[in-house]
Amino acid sequence: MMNVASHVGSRPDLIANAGWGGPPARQRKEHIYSSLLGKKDGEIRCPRIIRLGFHSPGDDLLEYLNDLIGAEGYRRSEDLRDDITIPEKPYICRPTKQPAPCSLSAPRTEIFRHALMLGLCTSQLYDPSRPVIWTRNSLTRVVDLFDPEGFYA
Amino acid sequence: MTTKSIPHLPDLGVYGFDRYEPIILAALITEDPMLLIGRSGTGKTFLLNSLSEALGLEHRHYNASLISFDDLVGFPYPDAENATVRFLETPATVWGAESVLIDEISRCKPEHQNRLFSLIHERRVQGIALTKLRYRWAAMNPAANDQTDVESYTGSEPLDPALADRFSLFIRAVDWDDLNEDERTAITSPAGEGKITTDDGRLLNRIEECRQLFIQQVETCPRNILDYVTTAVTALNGAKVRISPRRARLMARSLLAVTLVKGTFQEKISRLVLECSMPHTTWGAEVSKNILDAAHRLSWEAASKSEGRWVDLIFAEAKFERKLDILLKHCPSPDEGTQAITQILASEPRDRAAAFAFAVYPAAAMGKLPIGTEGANDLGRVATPILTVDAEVTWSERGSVKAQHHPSYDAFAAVLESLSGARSERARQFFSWCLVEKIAVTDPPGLEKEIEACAKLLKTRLMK
Repeated sequence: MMNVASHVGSRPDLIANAGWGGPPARQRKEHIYSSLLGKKDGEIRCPRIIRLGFHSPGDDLLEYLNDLIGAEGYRRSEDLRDDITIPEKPYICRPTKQPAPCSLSAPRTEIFRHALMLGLCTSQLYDPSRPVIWTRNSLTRVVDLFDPEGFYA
Repeated sequence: MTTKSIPHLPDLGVYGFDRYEPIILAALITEDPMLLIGRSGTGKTFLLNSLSEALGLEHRHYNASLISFDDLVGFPYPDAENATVRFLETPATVWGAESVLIDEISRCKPEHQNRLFSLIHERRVQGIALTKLRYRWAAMNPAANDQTDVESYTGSEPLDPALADRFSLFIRAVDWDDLNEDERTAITSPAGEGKITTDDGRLLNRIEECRQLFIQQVETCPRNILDYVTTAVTALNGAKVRISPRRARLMARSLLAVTLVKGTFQEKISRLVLECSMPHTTWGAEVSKNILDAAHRLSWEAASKSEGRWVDLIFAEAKFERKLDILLKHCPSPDEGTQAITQILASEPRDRAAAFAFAVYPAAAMGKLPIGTEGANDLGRVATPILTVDAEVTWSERGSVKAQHHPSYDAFAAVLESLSGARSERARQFFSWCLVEKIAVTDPPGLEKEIEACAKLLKTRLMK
């Protein structure tokens, strides 16, 4: 709609609007939710394998975990592979805003499993063949891992 | 200057065709049909008649606009037993000809086109083989809808693409403005008018020598020539310039012949063969220089380094499933695979890059593609947001028109309507993402088909 404004008479507050008379444009919106990951209906099934993440408000996780593995006799995070069982297949990794599942008061094996797997995740991929990389960022994420095989159903 | 590099055409009194001489010689070596296109008075007919004289050929020159069937075959009469029809031969009939020039082919009456078709394509007339015929040449003015300058060739009709596709090489005769000073002087000189063209057999010897080599090599055409042609044809078809499989074969023959003329497989001349193999001018269309350049670059790279050819083929292919197939079959290492993925994502428009990533990322995540972690992450960066969509889409309803859905919704819904099962779920997911991201999809049905073809290919691979 084209508006042509001009002052009318001596009243600068009165505006002549050439678009008068037509119904105005209305803004519409619609919420769209759709996901192929973790859904339980339809033919495509990419189930969630696990949710990873630490519930640790205020703690420096990197320092805490490095101290913890040292106390258990591990020289570096990579050594955890010797004792902790983790999935051998790569998975799709997606950050989530859901609450973290693992608390620092959990059994150490569980803490190490989450820490080890988080160190093997990029923001898209859990890849057990890559080196374990622990950073403050990587350890404070909460992520879901999905098995993508069903995508090609 | 070696004997091979001394041009032949000036010896025959033909000027202005220097650039195309190797191409013309290639047509003489392959004996495939050749068509000259140019304005009147540019020496097309003179060139072809001169070639026949220099090669000592039994030559026939017909004007397609005036020709009648009897001119070609002679007067029909029944044989002594009344069992079959024979034709009374005259010096003008085609039966004993070794070379035929059909002048003004674009002015041909439609009913004659079919007869010329079999003559050009099969060396036959009325189903009877012309056993002596080696060369089939034609000449025409630019087609009537290709008139870009002052002269108009009313009656020069666009050639039927099926007829045009029978010619192997198309040569554009140059006009005065394109001639250099020496050529202008040589052409202007009235000397030699009416004399039989001769070069003491130099051209004939050269053609015979190359023809022998051609016959030997054509059965095992060098790999680089095949790589060049297959990549070029794939790239041109991908760019919506239709090139028939027949033309691919003709192009390979021409390229082999021109390589024999030049002594080596050379880039500049390969580009010229590619250009001269395009029939589109005959029906008034033009293949853009940019498209030809791009196809040539890819093809030359493919022909030059056979180990890296798979990458060039990926970029020559338009369809994702073909790109993916090449990647799966030929990628030699994860690093090179990653590089190819990065380039595919960078070179495609956003909707297509997203569709590709969406279709192949799950397989990449499973480690089923020959690519490195970086490549999988590149795909993941594009595909992960598509796998889960959770957002608002907004649009405007204008005037009194009520729009229940976003304007793009209908185009997507039309595609989804005919789909079912996993295919439908994948398509719905992808189009949902397009809606919320306001992605303009140029061809929703086409893109969905490409996603599905990739999924099918990967499913087959995963089941192995």
